[in-house]
Amino acid sequence: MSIRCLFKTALFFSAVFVYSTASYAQAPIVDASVPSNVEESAPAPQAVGQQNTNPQGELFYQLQLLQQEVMQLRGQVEEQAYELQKVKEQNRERYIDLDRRIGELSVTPVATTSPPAAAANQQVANLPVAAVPSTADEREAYNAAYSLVVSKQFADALNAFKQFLIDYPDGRYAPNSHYWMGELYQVVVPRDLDASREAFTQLLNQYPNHAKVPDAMYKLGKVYFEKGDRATAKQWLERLITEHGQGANRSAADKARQFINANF
Amino acid sequence: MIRAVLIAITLLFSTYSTAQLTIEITQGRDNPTSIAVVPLGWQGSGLPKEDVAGIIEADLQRTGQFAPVARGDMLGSPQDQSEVFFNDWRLLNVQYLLIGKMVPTATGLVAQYQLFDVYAQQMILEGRQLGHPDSLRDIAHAISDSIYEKMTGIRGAFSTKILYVSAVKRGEALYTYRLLKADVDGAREQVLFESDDPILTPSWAPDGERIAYVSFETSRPAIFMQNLRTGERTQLTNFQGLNGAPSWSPDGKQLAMVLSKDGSPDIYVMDVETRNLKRVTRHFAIDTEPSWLPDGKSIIFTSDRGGRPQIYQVTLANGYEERLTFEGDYNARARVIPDGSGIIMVHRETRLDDFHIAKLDIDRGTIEALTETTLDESPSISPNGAILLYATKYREKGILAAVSLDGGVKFRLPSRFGDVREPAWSPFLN
Repeated sequence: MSIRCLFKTALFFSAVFVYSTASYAQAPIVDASVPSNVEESAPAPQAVGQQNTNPQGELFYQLQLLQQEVMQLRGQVEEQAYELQKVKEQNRERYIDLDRRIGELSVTPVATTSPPAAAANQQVANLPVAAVPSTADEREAYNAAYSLVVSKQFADALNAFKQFLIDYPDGRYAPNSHYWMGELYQVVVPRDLDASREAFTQLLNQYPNHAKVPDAMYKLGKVYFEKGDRATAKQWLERLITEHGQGANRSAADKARQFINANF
Repeated sequence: MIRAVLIAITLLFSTYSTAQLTIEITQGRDNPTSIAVVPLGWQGSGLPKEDVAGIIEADLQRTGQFAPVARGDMLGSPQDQSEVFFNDWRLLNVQYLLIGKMVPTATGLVAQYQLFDVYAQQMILEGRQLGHPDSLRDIAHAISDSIYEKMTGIRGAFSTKILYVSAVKRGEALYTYRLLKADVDGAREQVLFESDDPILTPSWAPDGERIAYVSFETSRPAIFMQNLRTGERTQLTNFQGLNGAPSWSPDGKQLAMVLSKDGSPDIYVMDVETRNLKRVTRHFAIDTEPSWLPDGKSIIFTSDRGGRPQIYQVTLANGYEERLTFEGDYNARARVIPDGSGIIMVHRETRLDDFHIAKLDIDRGTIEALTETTLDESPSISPNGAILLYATKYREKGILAAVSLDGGVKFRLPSRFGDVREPAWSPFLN
């Protein structure tokens, strides 16, 4: 039986039941020793007047109400437990992200400005973290991954970029890798719009000044659009137009304008 | 008694009726691979009974991943590698080329076929398919299977079958219900069982030989098992109340079902051999629509124990129950994707929305709607996990429709007569 039918039937029966407590009054079992609590416990007006003679029906009705109540509460508990678990996970991710960014902050000045002598010890302590394998290797790995994109081996390319980001999480080409992963998640089978969104978002969050940012904003807007979230899609496209709508690097913003004209 | 005779007659005379389902593709992919399927040479007696190349073309086209080249555009019809001129095909922008011929031999009809990559000018697949002149469709679907597997790496499901139920109105409140079996393209439809009373939820055993379904012929819903090879029917349940939603375990030895003999509808598992019953869930809410996980250790089911229908999972060994769906106001009739990566179900976002078929990604917990039609129900996934069939309404009629599991390809299989619903996709049959 179709469940839709089943649930409708169940609803129907419980509705019928509410209105048919009266009919239980015909049951000949009357226990005079049990005091009836009609006034306090039975708000259903259609049953008033019959309930004195129908403690069993009343009890059954109360049980039904109680079951309904328990079911609703159970639903709420399940949903809140789920929400709580999600919040915990998000918190953890945020903490890790924050920790990583603080780590970056304490490293970057060392590389750019000549540190005062007092900070020299700290610089040494930080060195292993900042140590990046030789840039030639990094470029080679990136080029290898990119050549897979060119030869349209998208699934392999995606894995190559994933590995690249594991090997060189803060490498020179890391932002480009995020960008390509965003593109690739959309063309591999099965496509994964959520992962694509994640990749573009990472690029935008971590490298807000990178040259790929306008393109990433455009693509991110389109991802939201494809996922059916038109509002967020439009937000991103409009932000792109405001922030990168002028100058030499405006081709993405132009595309965004066209996209908005065509779809909104 | 009369009914029993009727059933027997139905089974005896269940010859192939003309195909009732036709296919309309509603959405394909952006860049389908172009393939030329050259009409296969025929060396048998008389004329071939089916257009084998046409069937292969239709199979491939239905996936949305291939665009067959129109036959009128072909510059030749080679049957051997020596007759293939790649430049001719390159002019048509054809990426792949299939040629072949059917030759009668002592053991039966043999279809020899070769698949070429036109740009690389190479043969990438060569095969032989044995068959019978009366079952050219089997040969065609088998060739489609091997091409599809070669090109996508996914096993083809063109040789599988589908079950569905049709209801044809005979008069005031009078319907004829038929349990039908057909090829996945709707051809060779065959009546398995006919009744004046509703037939529901057909389900294939993993052996592809037995099916189970609910029939109201005994005036109350009862679960029947039917052997497709022998035609033998067995009534499995006759309990007070609801007897419904049979679902075969992956090993084919057990049948999960819904019974309300002990009060509210709960999930039970029956050992098909011994008919022993084991109660799996015990709750005053409605538990229904069981479906097995591929490992046979857990069952997912629909329950409204949380106030609204949602999907739950129960581990059979210890009875541990866990809720799987948290998004949406209605989630029901879940089926597990064969690789276990997710489940397909009927989903409604809010009370105001329509019922759609949606995919739940188990790892991420995200829900993605696959269909845009309304009143969608009864999803059934192909054994290779590439596509699913569901029942929906189209122009006021109950029809079957299909959508690929990534949502990219959609087509309808409307019936020419009456309403069809309750599709069930068979396991691999070869």
